[in-house]
Amino acid sequence: MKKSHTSEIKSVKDIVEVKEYVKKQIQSGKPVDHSKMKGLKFARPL
Amino acid sequence: MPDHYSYKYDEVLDGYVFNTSSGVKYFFHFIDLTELFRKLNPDLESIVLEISFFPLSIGKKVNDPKIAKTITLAIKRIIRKNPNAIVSFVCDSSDNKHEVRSRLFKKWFNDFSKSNLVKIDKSMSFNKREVHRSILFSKKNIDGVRNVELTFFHYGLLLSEQ
Repeated sequence: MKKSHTSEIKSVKDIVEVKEYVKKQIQSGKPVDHSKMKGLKFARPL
Repeated sequence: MPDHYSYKYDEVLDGYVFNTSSGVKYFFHFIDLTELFRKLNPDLESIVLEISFFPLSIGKKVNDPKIAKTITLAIKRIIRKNPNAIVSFVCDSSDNKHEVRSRLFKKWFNDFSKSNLVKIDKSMSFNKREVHRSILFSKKNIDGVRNVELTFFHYGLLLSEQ
């Protein structure tokens, strides 16, 4: 299992930045670069 | 006629999409914050998921109540499927619409208070930015309402000190 590095998250600002990055990529039809997610992962709970 | 839209998982986008009657395609997905919350409280057994949703194309905003129903239904399904799931969402002020968004979410989740779900809100500011945070979870959550609430507040306090 790939180790998560959520220790890269230092503040709410980091989470907000990751979310804004993801939103920008998805809305522009570009792939999400997971190395820019600061260790955060997506989940599929449904 | 259903009061919500049907969504499906999109492997490429790694999230869920649904089409609205106005032709706008919406997207929602979940970021796993479990590890972060467990760093604060190693005894926490819940999983913590932060939901984000937005239209896939930037265009005219349409007031469509079925969008809210679709999102809130998805959240309810997650918690029904896993009573130890905590769903988090954030209204941030990057577009100065956080207050409107926060009021809208309050309206969306108004009926939650009549169910077996708990909603807790917390606002914080950092770097001249307002952030309204909320979590939703079952009253039957294994960690207990008080423990989840304390962890959530502790998380907010810790991060606001950064």
